[in-house]
Amino acid sequence: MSGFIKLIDLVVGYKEPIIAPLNASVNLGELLILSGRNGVGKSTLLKHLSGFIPPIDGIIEINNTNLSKLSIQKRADYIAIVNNKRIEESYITVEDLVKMGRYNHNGKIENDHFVEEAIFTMGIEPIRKKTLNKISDGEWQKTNIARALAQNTSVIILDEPSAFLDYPSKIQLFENFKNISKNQNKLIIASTHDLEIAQQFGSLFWHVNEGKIDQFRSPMPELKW
Amino acid sequence: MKINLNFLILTLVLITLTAVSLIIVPQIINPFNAIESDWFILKMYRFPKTLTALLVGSALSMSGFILQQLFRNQLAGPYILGVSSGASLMVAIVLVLGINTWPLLGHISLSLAGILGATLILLLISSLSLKYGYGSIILLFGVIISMITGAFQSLLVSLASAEEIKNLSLWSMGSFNQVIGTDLVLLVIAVVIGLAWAYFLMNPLSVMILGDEVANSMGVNTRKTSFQLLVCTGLITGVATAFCGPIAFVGIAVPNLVKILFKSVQFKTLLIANCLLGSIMTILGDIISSLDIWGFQIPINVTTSLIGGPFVLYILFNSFKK
Repeated sequence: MSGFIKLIDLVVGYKEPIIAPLNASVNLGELLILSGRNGVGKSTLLKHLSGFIPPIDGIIEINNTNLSKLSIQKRADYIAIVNNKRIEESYITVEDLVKMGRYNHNGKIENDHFVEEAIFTMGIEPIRKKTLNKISDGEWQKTNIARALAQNTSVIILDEPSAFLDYPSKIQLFENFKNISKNQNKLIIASTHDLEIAQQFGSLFWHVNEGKIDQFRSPMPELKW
Repeated sequence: MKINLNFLILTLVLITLTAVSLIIVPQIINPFNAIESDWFILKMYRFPKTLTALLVGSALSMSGFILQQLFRNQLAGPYILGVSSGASLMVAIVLVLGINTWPLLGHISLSLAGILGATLILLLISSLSLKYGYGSIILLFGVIISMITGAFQSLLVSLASAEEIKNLSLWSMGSFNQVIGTDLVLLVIAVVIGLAWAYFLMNPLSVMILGDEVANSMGVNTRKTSFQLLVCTGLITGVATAFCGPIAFVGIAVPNLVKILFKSVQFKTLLIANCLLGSIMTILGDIISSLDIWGFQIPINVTTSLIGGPFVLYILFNSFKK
């Protein structure tokens, strides 16, 4: 079984298993869309994949290495995450926040180029000097994603990135994800409730329902909720 | 550019206040025309007092800044979180048992007791915050812990002799006058170590404002960083409290003022700014305490509370407006 990320008999959950043991393999260049009702374990699965919370059982391999054996720094070279926590500090600008994404590479010269590229990709050039308390939720989301892009990892994991965006921004966001995953050969994993939009751009779909995960290639069949 | 200007102004203010504290208050000593007794006062009294004020101001403001970031609560500080009271209780135990008069261990026992008390409370508060979050509840925990340690301290007072009671109550009012000789050297070492240690933890701490999960994914060992910062804060707060008593409001007011003056994301800059402004506040407080016009020395806690208290109220009102 080849794949950049491999899941071997993965049991999802904090204390109690909530999804049947999962086997899967995902390559770079994919846009993986994770769907399912609230509370089925999407966020927990994402926290396992990012290495923040260890799974109950089973193995996650990334680039043929056991994720749980990686150091925090090494993990940060592979995986960046975006969650929904908003911060509104009045002394941090959009640009400052994107620069924080380079934390793991402090003091290296190529830092500027990754920061600029991330700002350009997310289209936040016009607001780069604004402070975080002066931007909208949608702008915050873009800034936060740019911060993860600046980390320059192979994998980006996003928990409901489209939640606070208006309709055109949602379309633009998933189109962006598709382009980034294709052009920069990254694996992007995003959970979402905006399936109608996401299915136009995703390349791989995992739907969580009744404690198991169905895996599809696009286009998507009728889903059971 | 603006940051450099702020630094310049703060440094000049600090130097001026230091000079005032050394040669003007309470009586003017002209260094060019000083007689032997003047030099004696300078060397044995005013210099240690001013240096102590500078170190304690830095220490408390640094710990306030670190705690406010770590607990994500702008009203956190060593005093309100019960850290100072934890240190106080341990120091009171040492004083009443007379451990500080033992040979060898005597000198260092007060500092060790302070560090131990402060660090234990910090670890307790931090484990509570893991379970109950970072909101106002954490401040309430701190206040209640203060009351409990205060109760034990009262119990000690009722058991102590008249001489011990006098020592204890003088110390608990706060004073920069008592730290001389070996004690002063210990205070210098602790604060310098604390500052250097904290300085190297500022970059990871600045990323931790994004939350533990994101900071972790960015390569920050959040547990290790938090633990080190707690011990570092325990060290400087513990030693400062052991020698000067619990000092109110410095650790909560100064970091907020720094935040207003320095709109910077560079935590290293903010840390140094906290040291400068903290020193300014304590030296200013001490100058006001020692003014000749009062006819007696006002306890330092009274002045820091009167300077810092209204400002903290202002911060509190502002945070509700949002």
